[in-house]
Amino acid sequence: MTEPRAGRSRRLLVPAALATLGCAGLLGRVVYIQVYQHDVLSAEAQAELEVDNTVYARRGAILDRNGDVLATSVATWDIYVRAKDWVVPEDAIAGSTAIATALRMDAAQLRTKVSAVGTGDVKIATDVDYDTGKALIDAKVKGLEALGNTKRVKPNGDIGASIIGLLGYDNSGIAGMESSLNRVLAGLPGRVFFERDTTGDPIPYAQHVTHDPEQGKDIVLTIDRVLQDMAEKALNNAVVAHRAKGGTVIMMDPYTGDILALATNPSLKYSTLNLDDNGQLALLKNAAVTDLYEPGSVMKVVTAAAAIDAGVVTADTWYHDSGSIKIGTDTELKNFDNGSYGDQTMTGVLQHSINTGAVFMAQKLGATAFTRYLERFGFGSTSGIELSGEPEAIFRRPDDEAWTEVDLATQSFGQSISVTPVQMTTAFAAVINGGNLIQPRLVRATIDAQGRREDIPVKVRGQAISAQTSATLREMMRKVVDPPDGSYYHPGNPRDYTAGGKSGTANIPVPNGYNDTQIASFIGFAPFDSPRLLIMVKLDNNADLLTGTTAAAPIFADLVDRSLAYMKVRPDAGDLVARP
Amino acid sequence: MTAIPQQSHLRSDYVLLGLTLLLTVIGLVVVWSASFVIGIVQFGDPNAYFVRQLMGAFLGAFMFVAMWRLDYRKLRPWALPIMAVTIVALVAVLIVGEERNGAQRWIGAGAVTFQPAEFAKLSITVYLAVWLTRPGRNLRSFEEGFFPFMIILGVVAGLIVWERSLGTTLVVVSIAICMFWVAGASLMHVAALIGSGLVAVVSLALLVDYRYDRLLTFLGHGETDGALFQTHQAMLALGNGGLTGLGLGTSRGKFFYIPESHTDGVFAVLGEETGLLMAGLVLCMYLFLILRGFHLARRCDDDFGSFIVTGVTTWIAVQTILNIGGITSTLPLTGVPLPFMSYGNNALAAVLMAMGVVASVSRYGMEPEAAKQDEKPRPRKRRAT
Repeated sequence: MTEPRAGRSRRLLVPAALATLGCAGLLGRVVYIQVYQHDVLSAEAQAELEVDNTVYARRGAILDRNGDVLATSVATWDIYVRAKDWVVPEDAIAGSTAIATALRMDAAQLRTKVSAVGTGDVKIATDVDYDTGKALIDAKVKGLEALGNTKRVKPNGDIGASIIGLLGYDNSGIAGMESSLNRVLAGLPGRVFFERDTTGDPIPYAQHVTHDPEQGKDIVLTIDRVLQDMAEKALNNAVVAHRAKGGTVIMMDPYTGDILALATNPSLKYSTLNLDDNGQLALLKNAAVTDLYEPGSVMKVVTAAAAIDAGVVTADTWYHDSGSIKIGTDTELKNFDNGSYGDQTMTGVLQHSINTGAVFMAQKLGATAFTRYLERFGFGSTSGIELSGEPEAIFRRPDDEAWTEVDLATQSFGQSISVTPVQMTTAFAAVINGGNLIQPRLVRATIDAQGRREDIPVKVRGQAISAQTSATLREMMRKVVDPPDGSYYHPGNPRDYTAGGKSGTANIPVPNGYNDTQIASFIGFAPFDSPRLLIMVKLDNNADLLTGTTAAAPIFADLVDRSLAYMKVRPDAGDLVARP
Repeated sequence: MTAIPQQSHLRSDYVLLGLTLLLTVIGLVVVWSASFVIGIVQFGDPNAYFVRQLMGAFLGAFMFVAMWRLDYRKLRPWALPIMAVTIVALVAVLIVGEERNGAQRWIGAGAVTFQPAEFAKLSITVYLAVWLTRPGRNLRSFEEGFFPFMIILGVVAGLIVWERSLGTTLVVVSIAICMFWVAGASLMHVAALIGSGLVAVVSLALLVDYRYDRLLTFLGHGETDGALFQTHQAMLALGNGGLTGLGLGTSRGKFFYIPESHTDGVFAVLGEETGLLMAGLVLCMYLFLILRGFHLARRCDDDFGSFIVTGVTTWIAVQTILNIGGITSTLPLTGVPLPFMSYGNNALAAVLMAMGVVASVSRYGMEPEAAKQDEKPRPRKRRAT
């Protein structure tokens, strides 16, 4: 060991060089990680850190006008199994036994189903009720994955299904009020965004964004579930009795436009719902709102209202019916029974449903004025009812190129004009309620999540006729169902209540004419003095070919008696009334 | 670079002192930041770890000053007794020690714990410095040099390995081999030592599960999610920090993503919070400290002092490289703390005490005449440090 110091100095260069190399290498490495790899690693770190959760809003319930629940949401679970957790047979047996017992399934089948998939999550049950699912979660069953969901329950079963509608798999409405008021019912989902630690809790000083959900509102329908049930049963029975293809019953408050019942046949039914059946898909729309028909003679009420309001006739104007009327050179229109009634008042025209009388009134009025009145009664525009898919009425106007005098004539008794049942009922409401064209409605109020109720005001769209004309028409319609001279019995006259109304029997138009199928309808109101109810009864393609008076009017009368009694309206007809 | 002012040889190397102080202060800040979350979770007190580390820092500062003021040459007669006490402590820890994280390294309970292995690094450094400078020893011979060196190293390293602390063993072995080399051992012997050391490390790694995992993880065949997670999360934290960092105190990784974020993982937290600017600066400070240490070892007139400085510098160098190398997935994770910075009051006190001895060498290891001779005129401006 000579010159120890010099040797030491030389030898110290080795560790110094190694340390320099090491540190320089690490510095390079840190630069590489922190600068060159920054974007990649940062993105990966953010992906690991960031939680972006949708906070679902509560979906509001659908209530009937008295607060009875028609549809509401309850919490449920969708149950999945992580297939890889069941690879070990003991785990699969333990897990499948626990799940199968809780969900009343076959454990062996469950294992087969899961093992067939092999990897990933296997959906094994949806809409499992909350307590059952929670018990499985608390039991920490191996492989179990439970995701919260909600299920729509309808405590009243199929009653009102065609109005209430349906939710799709994504819990948004696909039919009925569930669809058309989806935004109100569903609210708006909120969002929680934050950076989490490894246990999932938010990191305090990191980003944290919360948007509270806007909770859905309950909607209070104008429907009365008892009346709805009554209407549905009456309609369904009538469809069977008259071997009809279907039909509609609408009950409306003529003053507010509140639809108390709206029954269609065929109708959506939750109990037999099967959306894989294409035939049932058609039931997702509400035919009373979406389907046009030719109303036939009920339109004579509108024609009479227009002519009297314009002052061209009065209820007592006399006119001679010869049984037919010639329009232009080559068109001859006849009465429905090909009969002739001789000298008649305008009231008689309605009582006997004389086509030539309706033409008489329309011609006295003139095409332009008649068309204006049709529009004032809401034909040609949508009624504004909340259900979607409503068309406008279709009819030729004098300024249409194809319009002829025949159009005026046939429209006067309800042919060559297509309307929806709701539009026809709404026009009738204007005829009897003092002349106001109101917006028919299915929703009378909303109730927000805090319980605050917001009533929706009645909307008057315009004045169709004067209150005086309206009173005249009520009187005329009363004479239809209850002729003062007792010359005939009308099946539309209720037993316990005074009423008024008009029947219609329309042929169903086919290309180039009409075939022998028909629509038998009746629209009427009761009680006479202060109408509480306007009821439309419509039967489509009744195979017995009975007229509106014979087939539809008795249903009207029966519904008036039962529904007004339910509504605690004092009977006012016949001997039941003790007049002073 | 820095000359001992000629009028007095009793001037310490203030650059080394300053770097030590700076790194310790930065370390305290990082430990505070990296540990408050785990402190809340484990003790309900965000400052729990910081306070313990502060205790280590105070203890270390006290020992630093004590060693600095003490002429290191007075340690010479104490080297053997200290080594003996160290060996007894290392044996005791095997018998009565506490096991943490799969390793038996601790004596004591609660906040006051003692890790003999940390102090063993200093003990063996001083003891070897004595042993290597014994007059008349021919280090190049097998009988006088290699064989007895192997025995000493074998006993100490064996005891630390027995504690299942591979990283510390690696550090101790590196210290010893480096000192042996600098003292003049034969290249063949040193090469043999390094070779057998590597074989021993790999075979030991294969023996103990978690080390095997770490090795596999490093080699890219990690089977264990845990080890993979650890290094990967440290990488993510560093990468997320980028050039300027997320801001002091705002690490996301310390929310349990980086396991041991306040001990082995501090560098990742530092890099995440203060970015490359600070992490790179700290790395440069370590390199500067290390080079300054080896420079002091060269300049020192006294072999004993020089070897001590060589040992302590090697200690800091190896731990820095192993720790940051592990955090950056450059080297396998070995679980050694980053000197001055990682939480661990024993480690901090031990390394500060060792730096005190180095300061003492810078103060007392220079003969005035020798200093003059050694000093060559340089164009550089002299700094009075």
